[in-house]
Amino acid sequence: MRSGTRYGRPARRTPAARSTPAFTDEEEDQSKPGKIGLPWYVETALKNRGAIFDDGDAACVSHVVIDRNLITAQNPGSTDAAAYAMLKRLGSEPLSARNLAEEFFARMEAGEVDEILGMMTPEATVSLVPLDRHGPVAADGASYLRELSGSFPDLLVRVRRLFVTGDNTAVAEITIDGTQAGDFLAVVNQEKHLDLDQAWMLRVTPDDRISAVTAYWDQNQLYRRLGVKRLDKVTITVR
Amino acid sequence: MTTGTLRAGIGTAPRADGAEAAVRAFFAAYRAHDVEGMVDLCAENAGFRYVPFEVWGRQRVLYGEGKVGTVGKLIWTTLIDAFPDLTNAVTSLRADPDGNVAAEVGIGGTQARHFGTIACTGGRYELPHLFLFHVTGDGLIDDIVAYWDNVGWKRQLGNLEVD
Repeated sequence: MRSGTRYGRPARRTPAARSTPAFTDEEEDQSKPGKIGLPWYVETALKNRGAIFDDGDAACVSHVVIDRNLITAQNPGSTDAAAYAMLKRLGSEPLSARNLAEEFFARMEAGEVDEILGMMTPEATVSLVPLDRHGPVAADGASYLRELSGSFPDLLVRVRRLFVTGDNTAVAEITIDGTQAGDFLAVVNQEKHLDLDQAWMLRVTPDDRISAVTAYWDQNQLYRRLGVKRLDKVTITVR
Repeated sequence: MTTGTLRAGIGTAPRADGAEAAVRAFFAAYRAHDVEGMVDLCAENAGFRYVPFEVWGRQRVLYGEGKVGTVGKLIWTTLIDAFPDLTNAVTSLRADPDGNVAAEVGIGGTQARHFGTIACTGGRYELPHLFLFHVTGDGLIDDIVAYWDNVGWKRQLGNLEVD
Protein backbone atom coordinates (compact mmCIF):
# COMPACT_ATOMS: atom_id res chain seq x y z
CA MET A 1 0.00 0.00 0.00
CA ARG A 2 1.29 3.41 -0.87
CA SER A 3 1.10 6.41 1.38
CA GLY A 4 0.91 10.10 0.73
CA THR A 5 -0.39 11.60 -2.45
CA ARG A 6 0.90 11.90 -5.97
CA TYR A 7 1.09 15.66 -5.68
CA GLY A 8 2.46 15.74 -2.17
CA ARG A 9 -0.60 17.36 -0.66
CA PRO A 10 -1.30 15.80 2.72
CA ALA A 11 -4.59 14.00 3.12
CA ARG A 12 -6.99 15.49 5.63
CA ARG A 13 -8.83 12.79 7.53
CA THR A 14 -12.04 13.71 9.23
CA PRO A 15 -13.86 11.69 11.88
CA ALA A 16 -16.32 10.68 9.18
CA ALA A 17 -13.62 9.39 6.83
CA ARG A 18 -14.20 5.85 5.62
CA SER A 19 -11.79 3.19 4.49
CA THR A 20 -12.11 2.42 0.83
CA PRO A 21 -10.22 0.86 -2.00
CA ALA A 22 -10.62 1.97 -5.62
CA PHE A 23 -8.97 1.35 -8.93
CA THR A 24 -5.40 2.25 -7.99
CA ASP A 25 -3.02 4.53 -9.83
CA GLU A 26 -0.92 1.44 -10.55
CA GLU A 27 -3.90 -0.35 -12.08
CA GLU A 28 -4.88 2.74 -14.09
CA ASP A 29 -1.34 2.91 -15.46
CA GLN A 30 -1.62 -0.73 -16.58
CA SER A 31 -4.87 -0.07 -18.47
CA LYS A 32 -5.06 1.10 -22.08
CA PRO A 33 -6.33 4.59 -21.19
CA GLY A 34 -3.73 4.80 -18.43
CA LYS A 35 -0.92 4.11 -20.84
CA ILE A 36 -2.16 6.91 -23.06
CA GLY A 37 -2.43 9.24 -20.11
CA LEU A 38 -5.25 10.15 -17.74
CA PRO A 39 -6.18 13.63 -16.59
CA TRP A 40 -6.66 12.44 -13.00
CA TYR A 41 -6.53 9.30 -10.84
CA VAL A 42 -9.20 7.97 -8.48
CA GLU A 43 -6.71 6.83 -5.84
CA THR A 44 -4.94 10.17 -5.83
CA ALA A 45 -8.21 12.08 -5.76
CA LEU A 46 -9.55 10.03 -2.84
CA LYS A 47 -6.38 10.50 -0.86
CA ASN A 48 -6.38 14.22 -1.56
CA ARG A 49 -9.95 14.39 -0.24
CA GLY A 50 -8.96 12.67 2.99
CA ALA A 51 -10.20 9.16 2.36
CA ILE A 52 -8.46 6.30 4.14
CA PHE A 53 -7.29 4.47 1.06
CA ASP A 54 -7.11 0.74 1.68
CA ASP A 55 -5.92 -1.12 -1.41
CA GLY A 56 -4.97 -4.76 -1.85
CA ASP A 57 -1.51 -6.20 -1.55
CA ALA A 58 -1.07 -6.35 -5.31
CA ALA A 59 -2.57 -4.79 -8.39
CA CYS A 60 -5.46 -6.49 -10.17
CA VAL A 61 -6.35 -8.90 -7.37
CA SER A 62 -9.73 -9.00 -5.67
CA HIS A 63 -10.03 -6.71 -2.68
CA VAL A 64 -13.14 -5.61 -0.81
CA VAL A 65 -13.38 -3.33 2.19
CA ILE A 66 -16.35 -2.94 4.52
CA ASP A 67 -16.33 0.07 6.79
CA ARG A 68 -19.53 0.47 8.72
CA ASN A 69 -22.25 0.59 6.05
CA LEU A 70 -19.92 1.29 3.14
CA ILE A 71 -18.89 -1.66 0.96
CA THR A 72 -16.32 -0.85 -1.69
CA ALA A 73 -14.38 -2.95 -4.17
CA GLN A 74 -11.10 -2.19 -5.84
CA ASN A 75 -11.39 -3.46 -9.39
CA PRO A 76 -13.45 -5.68 -11.75
CA GLY A 77 -11.88 -8.79 -10.23
CA SER A 78 -13.54 -7.88 -6.92
CA THR A 79 -17.08 -8.11 -8.27
CA ASP A 80 -17.96 -11.51 -6.84
CA ALA A 81 -16.53 -10.76 -3.42
CA ALA A 82 -18.30 -7.40 -3.30
CA ALA A 83 -21.64 -8.96 -4.24
CA TYR A 84 -21.18 -11.66 -1.63
CA ALA A 85 -20.32 -9.09 1.03
CA MET A 86 -23.43 -7.15 0.10
CA LEU A 87 -25.65 -10.22 0.42
CA LYS A 88 -24.17 -11.06 3.80
CA ARG A 89 -24.74 -7.48 4.91
CA LEU A 90 -28.36 -7.74 3.83
CA GLY A 91 -28.79 -10.81 5.98
CA SER A 92 -28.85 -13.51 3.36
CA GLU A 93 -28.05 -16.99 4.49
CA PRO A 94 -24.47 -18.13 3.84
CA LEU A 95 -24.26 -19.63 0.42
CA SER A 96 -23.78 -23.29 -0.05
CA ALA A 97 -20.42 -23.34 -1.77
CA ARG A 98 -19.61 -26.49 0.17
CA ASN A 99 -22.66 -28.32 -1.16
CA LEU A 100 -21.94 -27.08 -4.65
CA ALA A 101 -18.37 -28.37 -4.46
CA GLU A 102 -19.53 -31.75 -3.20
CA GLU A 103 -21.96 -31.94 -6.12
CA PHE A 104 -19.19 -30.90 -8.55
CA PHE A 105 -16.91 -33.74 -7.44
CA ALA A 106 -19.74 -36.28 -7.37
CA ARG A 107 -20.55 -35.37 -10.96
CA MET A 108 -16.85 -35.56 -11.86
CA GLU A 109 -16.82 -39.12 -10.53
CA ALA A 110 -19.98 -39.94 -12.50
CA GLY A 111 -18.60 -38.38 -15.68
CA GLU A 112 -21.56 -35.97 -15.84
CA VAL A 113 -19.74 -33.26 -17.71
CA ASP A 114 -22.83 -31.55 -19.16
CA GLU A 115 -24.33 -31.37 -15.67
CA ILE A 116 -21.08 -29.83 -14.40
CA LEU A 117 -21.24 -27.24 -17.16
CA GLY A 118 -24.77 -26.50 -16.02
CA MET A 119 -23.38 -25.53 -12.61
CA MET A 120 -21.19 -22.84 -14.16
CA THR A 121 -21.76 -19.24 -15.13
CA PRO A 122 -21.71 -18.74 -18.92
CA GLU A 123 -18.35 -16.98 -18.69
CA ALA A 124 -16.77 -19.42 -16.23
CA THR A 125 -13.06 -19.99 -16.61
CA VAL A 126 -10.80 -22.89 -15.79
CA SER A 127 -7.12 -23.05 -15.01
CA LEU A 128 -5.64 -26.54 -15.06
CA VAL A 129 -2.23 -25.45 -13.84
CA PRO A 130 -0.09 -28.54 -14.58
CA LEU A 131 -1.53 -28.77 -18.10
CA ASP A 132 -1.03 -25.04 -18.69
CA ARG A 133 -4.64 -24.94 -19.87
CA HIS A 134 -6.34 -21.68 -19.04
CA GLY A 135 -9.60 -20.71 -20.69
CA PRO A 136 -13.34 -21.17 -20.78
CA VAL A 137 -14.70 -24.10 -18.78
CA ALA A 138 -16.94 -25.02 -21.70
CA ALA A 139 -13.85 -25.77 -23.80
CA ASP A 140 -10.75 -26.47 -21.72
CA GLY A 141 -12.48 -27.78 -18.61
CA ALA A 142 -15.03 -29.92 -20.41
CA SER A 143 -12.47 -31.59 -22.67
CA TYR A 144 -10.33 -32.53 -19.65
CA LEU A 145 -13.29 -33.92 -17.71
CA ARG A 146 -14.57 -35.91 -20.70
CA GLU A 147 -11.12 -37.38 -21.31
CA LEU A 148 -10.78 -38.24 -17.62
CA SER A 149 -14.11 -40.05 -17.41
CA GLY A 150 -13.60 -41.74 -20.78
CA SER A 151 -10.13 -43.03 -19.90
CA PHE A 152 -11.03 -44.08 -16.36
CA PRO A 153 -14.55 -45.61 -16.48
CA ASP A 154 -14.25 -46.79 -12.87
CA LEU A 155 -13.17 -43.38 -11.61
CA LEU A 156 -13.55 -42.66 -7.91
CA VAL A 157 -13.26 -39.12 -6.58
CA ARG A 158 -12.72 -38.86 -2.85
CA VAL A 159 -12.91 -35.45 -1.17
CA ARG A 160 -10.36 -35.47 1.65
CA ARG A 161 -10.64 -31.87 2.81
CA LEU A 162 -13.05 -29.07 1.98
CA PHE A 163 -13.35 -25.55 3.27
CA VAL A 164 -14.99 -22.34 2.07
CA THR A 165 -13.07 -19.09 2.28
CA GLY A 166 -14.38 -15.60 2.94
CA ASP A 167 -14.77 -14.84 -0.77
CA ASN A 168 -16.97 -17.93 -1.19
CA THR A 169 -14.33 -20.10 -2.81
CA ALA A 170 -14.55 -23.80 -2.06
CA VAL A 171 -11.06 -25.23 -1.60
CA ALA A 172 -10.83 -29.01 -1.82
CA GLU A 173 -8.18 -31.66 -1.61
CA ILE A 174 -9.31 -34.72 -3.51
CA THR A 175 -7.91 -38.06 -4.63
CA ILE A 176 -8.84 -39.43 -8.03
CA ASP A 177 -8.59 -43.17 -8.34
CA GLY A 178 -9.17 -45.47 -11.30
CA THR A 179 -7.86 -47.94 -13.85
CA GLN A 180 -6.80 -46.65 -17.23
CA ALA A 181 -8.93 -47.95 -20.09
CA GLY A 182 -8.01 -45.47 -22.80
CA ASP A 183 -5.29 -43.03 -23.77
CA PHE A 184 -5.21 -40.09 -21.38
CA LEU A 185 -3.41 -36.79 -21.88
CA ALA A 186 -1.35 -38.43 -24.63
CA VAL A 187 -0.36 -41.36 -22.39
CA VAL A 188 -0.95 -44.70 -24.10
CA ASN A 189 -3.28 -47.00 -22.20
CA GLN A 190 -1.48 -49.78 -20.30
CA GLU A 191 -4.38 -50.49 -17.93
CA LYS A 192 -2.37 -48.99 -15.08
CA HIS A 193 -3.96 -47.95 -11.83
CA LEU A 194 -3.98 -44.25 -11.07
CA ASP A 195 -4.30 -42.66 -7.66
CA LEU A 196 -3.54 -39.00 -7.65
CA ASP A 197 -3.94 -36.27 -5.05
CA GLN A 198 -5.18 -32.96 -6.39
CA ALA A 199 -6.27 -29.57 -5.03
CA TRP A 200 -9.15 -27.67 -6.59
CA MET A 201 -10.56 -24.22 -5.96
CA LEU A 202 -14.11 -23.42 -7.08
CA ARG A 203 -15.14 -19.80 -6.91
CA VAL A 204 -18.87 -19.53 -6.31
CA THR A 205 -21.06 -16.54 -7.16
CA PRO A 206 -23.79 -15.22 -4.86
CA ASP A 207 -26.39 -17.01 -6.99
CA ASP A 208 -24.70 -20.39 -6.49
CA ARG A 209 -22.89 -20.71 -9.80
CA ILE A 210 -19.26 -21.60 -10.23
CA SER A 211 -17.44 -18.78 -11.97
CA ALA A 212 -13.83 -19.99 -11.85
CA VAL A 213 -12.10 -23.31 -11.37
CA THR A 214 -8.41 -23.77 -10.60
CA ALA A 215 -6.73 -27.15 -10.19
CA TYR A 216 -3.28 -28.17 -9.06
CA TRP A 217 -1.64 -31.58 -9.15
CA ASP A 218 1.72 -33.11 -10.01
CA GLN A 219 1.73 -34.35 -13.59
CA ASN A 220 4.98 -36.21 -12.82
CA GLN A 221 3.08 -38.40 -10.33
CA LEU A 222 0.43 -39.05 -12.95
CA TYR A 223 3.05 -40.03 -15.55
CA ARG A 224 4.86 -42.28 -13.07
CA ARG A 225 1.69 -44.14 -12.19
CA LEU A 226 0.76 -44.59 -15.86
CA GLY A 227 4.16 -45.98 -16.81
CA VAL A 228 5.73 -43.02 -18.59
CA LYS A 229 9.52 -43.01 -18.24
CA ARG A 230 10.63 -39.80 -19.91
CA LEU A 231 8.98 -36.42 -20.29
CA ASP A 232 10.08 -36.14 -23.93
CA LYS A 233 8.53 -39.53 -24.72
CA VAL A 234 5.19 -39.35 -22.99
CA THR A 235 3.41 -41.39 -25.61
CA ILE A 236 6.06 -44.16 -25.67
CA THR A 237 5.61 -46.33 -22.62
CA VAL A 238 7.34 -49.46 -21.37
CA ARG A 239 5.22 -52.53 -20.81
CA MET B 1 -7.96 -12.76 -3.15
CA THR B 2 -8.02 -11.26 0.21
CA THR B 3 -11.02 -10.22 2.16
CA GLY B 4 -8.92 -9.55 5.19
CA THR B 5 -10.42 -6.13 5.49
CA LEU B 6 -13.95 -7.50 5.85
CA ARG B 7 -14.04 -6.35 9.40
CA ALA B 8 -17.00 -4.24 10.33
CA GLY B 9 -20.56 -5.18 10.90
CA ILE B 10 -20.98 -8.50 9.15
CA GLY B 11 -19.48 -10.81 11.67
CA THR B 12 -16.40 -11.87 9.73
CA ALA B 13 -13.99 -13.62 11.99
CA PRO B 14 -10.86 -11.82 13.11
CA ARG B 15 -9.27 -15.26 13.08
CA ALA B 16 -9.20 -15.20 9.27
CA ASP B 17 -7.16 -12.00 9.45
CA GLY B 18 -4.74 -13.56 11.92
CA ALA B 19 -4.42 -16.69 9.81
CA GLU B 20 -3.66 -14.65 6.70
CA ALA B 21 -1.11 -12.61 8.63
CA ALA B 22 0.64 -15.78 9.83
CA VAL B 23 0.83 -17.10 6.28
CA ARG B 24 2.16 -13.81 4.94
CA ALA B 25 4.81 -13.80 7.67
CA PHE B 26 5.70 -17.37 6.73
CA PHE B 27 6.37 -16.47 3.10
CA ALA B 28 8.25 -13.33 4.13
CA ALA B 29 10.55 -15.50 6.25
CA TYR B 30 10.87 -17.90 3.30
CA ARG B 31 11.89 -15.01 1.03
CA ALA B 32 14.48 -14.01 3.62
CA HIS B 33 15.73 -17.63 3.73
CA ASP B 34 15.02 -17.55 7.46
CA VAL B 35 14.19 -21.22 7.99
CA GLU B 36 14.25 -20.88 11.77
CA GLY B 37 11.79 -18.01 11.41
CA MET B 38 9.53 -20.20 9.27
CA VAL B 39 9.62 -22.93 11.90
CA ASP B 40 9.00 -20.42 14.68
CA LEU B 41 5.75 -19.41 12.98
CA CYS B 42 4.56 -23.02 13.29
CA ALA B 43 3.20 -24.88 16.27
CA GLU B 44 5.29 -27.59 17.82
CA ASN B 45 4.61 -30.82 15.95
CA ALA B 46 3.00 -28.96 13.06
CA GLY B 47 2.14 -31.30 10.20
CA PHE B 48 3.88 -31.05 6.86
CA ARG B 49 3.11 -32.58 3.46
CA TYR B 50 4.64 -31.64 0.12
CA VAL B 51 2.35 -33.78 -2.05
CA PRO B 52 4.54 -34.04 -5.21
CA PHE B 53 7.62 -34.89 -3.17
CA GLU B 54 8.12 -38.60 -3.83
CA VAL B 55 11.54 -40.20 -4.11
CA TRP B 56 11.29 -43.70 -5.54
CA GLY B 57 14.13 -45.82 -4.19
CA ARG B 58 14.81 -49.51 -4.81
CA GLN B 59 13.16 -50.66 -1.63
CA ARG B 60 10.59 -48.02 -0.83
CA VAL B 61 9.18 -44.63 -1.69
CA LEU B 62 10.14 -41.65 0.44
CA TYR B 63 7.39 -39.07 0.76
CA GLY B 64 7.70 -35.41 1.69
CA GLU B 65 5.46 -35.94 4.66
CA GLY B 66 5.99 -35.62 8.39
CA LYS B 67 6.55 -32.71 10.72
CA VAL B 68 7.60 -29.14 9.99
CA GLY B 69 10.43 -29.38 12.52
CA THR B 70 11.98 -32.40 10.84
CA VAL B 71 10.96 -33.05 7.22
CA GLY B 72 9.85 -29.50 6.43
CA LYS B 73 12.93 -27.86 7.86
CA LEU B 74 15.18 -30.29 6.01
CA ILE B 75 13.46 -29.72 2.66
CA TRP B 76 13.43 -25.94 3.00
CA THR B 77 17.11 -25.86 3.99
CA THR B 78 18.10 -28.16 1.13
CA LEU B 79 16.04 -26.16 -1.38
CA ILE B 80 17.60 -22.86 -0.34
CA ASP B 81 21.04 -24.46 -0.52
CA ALA B 82 20.39 -25.75 -4.05
CA PHE B 83 18.68 -22.53 -5.21
CA PRO B 84 20.50 -19.73 -3.37
CA ASP B 85 18.35 -16.99 -4.90
CA LEU B 86 15.10 -18.84 -4.14
CA THR B 87 12.22 -16.42 -3.81
CA ASN B 88 8.43 -16.38 -3.72
CA ALA B 89 5.51 -14.10 -4.47
CA VAL B 90 2.06 -14.64 -2.98
CA THR B 91 -0.46 -14.14 -5.79
CA SER B 92 -3.65 -14.91 -3.89
CA LEU B 93 -4.61 -15.58 -0.31
CA ARG B 94 -7.95 -16.87 0.95
CA ALA B 95 -8.97 -17.78 4.49
CA ASP B 96 -11.98 -19.19 6.27
CA PRO B 97 -13.06 -18.43 9.84
CA ASP B 98 -11.66 -21.75 11.11
CA GLY B 99 -8.03 -20.98 10.32
CA ASN B 100 -7.81 -22.68 6.92
CA VAL B 101 -5.84 -20.67 4.38
CA ALA B 102 -5.22 -21.27 0.67
CA ALA B 103 -2.28 -19.40 -0.83
CA GLU B 104 -1.28 -19.38 -4.46
CA VAL B 105 2.41 -18.64 -4.59
CA GLY B 106 4.93 -18.30 -7.40
CA ILE B 107 8.29 -19.77 -6.41
CA GLY B 108 11.45 -19.49 -8.45
CA GLY B 109 15.20 -19.71 -8.27
CA THR B 110 18.42 -20.52 -10.06
CA GLN B 111 19.95 -23.92 -9.46
CA ALA B 112 23.46 -23.92 -8.01
CA ARG B 113 23.64 -27.48 -6.67
CA HIS B 114 22.07 -30.85 -7.34
CA PHE B 115 18.64 -31.27 -5.81
CA GLY B 116 17.55 -34.88 -5.41
CA THR B 117 17.51 -36.44 -8.87
CA ILE B 118 17.71 -33.05 -10.58
CA ALA B 119 21.33 -32.50 -11.60
CA CYS B 120 22.54 -28.94 -11.58
CA THR B 121 22.77 -27.31 -15.00
CA GLY B 122 22.46 -23.78 -13.69
CA GLY B 123 18.88 -23.55 -14.91
CA ARG B 124 16.27 -21.24 -13.52
CA TYR B 125 12.63 -22.04 -12.76
CA GLU B 126 9.42 -20.22 -11.97
CA LEU B 127 6.53 -22.37 -10.84
CA PRO B 128 3.03 -21.79 -9.45
CA HIS B 129 2.30 -23.52 -6.15
CA LEU B 130 -0.82 -23.93 -4.05
CA PHE B 131 -0.22 -24.04 -0.31
CA LEU B 132 -2.95 -25.01 2.14
CA PHE B 133 -2.40 -24.05 5.76
CA HIS B 134 -4.22 -24.46 9.00
CA VAL B 135 -3.56 -21.81 11.61
CA THR B 136 -4.49 -22.16 15.27
CA GLY B 137 -6.45 -19.57 17.22
CA ASP B 138 -3.10 -18.47 18.67
CA GLY B 139 -1.87 -17.60 15.20
CA LEU B 140 0.50 -20.55 14.84
CA ILE B 141 0.59 -22.66 11.69
CA ASP B 142 -0.11 -26.24 12.63
CA ASP B 143 -0.44 -27.81 9.17
CA ILE B 144 1.14 -27.16 5.76
CA VAL B 145 0.25 -28.93 2.52
CA ALA B 146 1.63 -27.91 -0.87
CA TYR B 147 0.90 -28.82 -4.49
CA TRP B 148 2.91 -28.04 -7.61
CA ASP B 149 3.81 -29.75 -10.86
CA ASN B 150 7.18 -31.45 -10.99
CA VAL B 151 6.99 -31.83 -14.78
CA GLY B 152 7.05 -28.06 -15.18
CA TRP B 153 9.83 -27.83 -12.62
CA LYS B 154 12.02 -30.51 -14.18
CA ARG B 155 11.50 -29.34 -17.76
CA GLN B 156 12.68 -25.86 -16.79
CA LEU B 157 15.77 -27.32 -15.12
CA GLY B 158 16.60 -29.63 -18.02
CA ASN B 159 15.67 -32.94 -16.41
CA LEU B 160 13.43 -35.14 -18.57
CA GLU B 161 13.40 -38.33 -16.46
CA VAL B 162 10.10 -39.17 -14.82
CA ASP B 163 12.20 -41.15 -12.23
